[in-house]
Amino acid sequence: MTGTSRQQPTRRELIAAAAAGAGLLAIGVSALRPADAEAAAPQTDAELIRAILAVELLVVFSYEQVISSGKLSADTEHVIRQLLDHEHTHVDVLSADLEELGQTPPDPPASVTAADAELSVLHGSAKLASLNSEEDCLRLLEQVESLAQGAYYVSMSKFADVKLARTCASILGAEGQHYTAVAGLLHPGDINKAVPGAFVEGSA
Amino acid sequence: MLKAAGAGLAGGAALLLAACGGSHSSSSQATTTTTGGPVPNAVDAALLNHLLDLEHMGIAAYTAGIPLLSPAGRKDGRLFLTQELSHAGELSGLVNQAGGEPHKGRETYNFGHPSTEEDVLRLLHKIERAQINAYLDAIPKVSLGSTRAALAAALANDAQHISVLRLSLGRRPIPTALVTGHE
Repeated sequence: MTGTSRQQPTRRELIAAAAAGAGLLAIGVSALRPADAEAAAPQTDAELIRAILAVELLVVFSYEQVISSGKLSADTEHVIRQLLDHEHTHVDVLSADLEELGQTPPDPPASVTAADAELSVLHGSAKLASLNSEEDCLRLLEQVESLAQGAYYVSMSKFADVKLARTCASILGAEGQHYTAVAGLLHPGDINKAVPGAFVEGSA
Repeated sequence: MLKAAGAGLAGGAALLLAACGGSHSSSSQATTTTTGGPVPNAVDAALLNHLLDLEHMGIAAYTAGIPLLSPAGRKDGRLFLTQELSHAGELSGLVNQAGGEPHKGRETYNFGHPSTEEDVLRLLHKIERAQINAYLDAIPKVSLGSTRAALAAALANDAQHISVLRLSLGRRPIPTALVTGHE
């Protein structure tokens, strides 16, 4: 699975494909139809990495918007900035892998509106355009981390190159830790919310 | 000397393992492999049994160590123990699918002489780290993609455990952008 002959999908199609593959496509979301996902379903290692990168760029965009919202306490912002640094590293690692496969990374979301349209594939109501409190911010990041987990988990079974699978397993581990950190801030003292399941696959 | 996992745990663990085995979606995916594709084999069974050995060790360590933890630590430990049992159940199912015989936990484990909460947290941290290392080693080697996905999902949960343990130990909970099993 290394060919790259098909026309490159749009960001919207990449996100829809990643979310649908992870079982995250929200029912009734008109902007992102299941047909979009089917049309863009990743077939090659390069396409898989590109779809994950589209999600990672959405994650980075979301963290940046949350930080710039001014709604975080100093302590929370300190943690969130560390997680953002990690997300930048994930983008760098995957971009390098994608370039080795002869492709360039997708563009990041063009605007808050565009990012919110992509986030609408997630179940839940969090929107970057309506971050009115620290709780709003953390709830949104919790959902974003779930989407990222789903993108990695689904791809794990599809990679032809097992080295890519190992890299993505390492990153899935980090995304699981990020979820725990964010959920820990959102639900202090509630370990069941911070570590909700024995298998980290992204939540539907 | 802290010893665990003998008869005291065996009954309850067996019940939980029976309840957990095969419940994870990726188990059933492995059985659907048809002609032409890779099939799980003896090498897979050996790799998976090694992971199962480490999960058994983790189950024993949590079982023995939880009484020495603070009330908050016990709550965390009990949840993590339940999740380790789920991992063991999943791995047992995968070993079976690979044609192997799932290893059982040992009668006893020698965990040295931990006497404080910090001692126990260090022990649990060491075992979780070994598990993550072993998962990362096994993932590129197993035959089926569905097995890789199941191992990655368990690895990520162990990564969550270790981040909580690190926080309890006063260390940075998430020190690296990629989980390596060395942190």
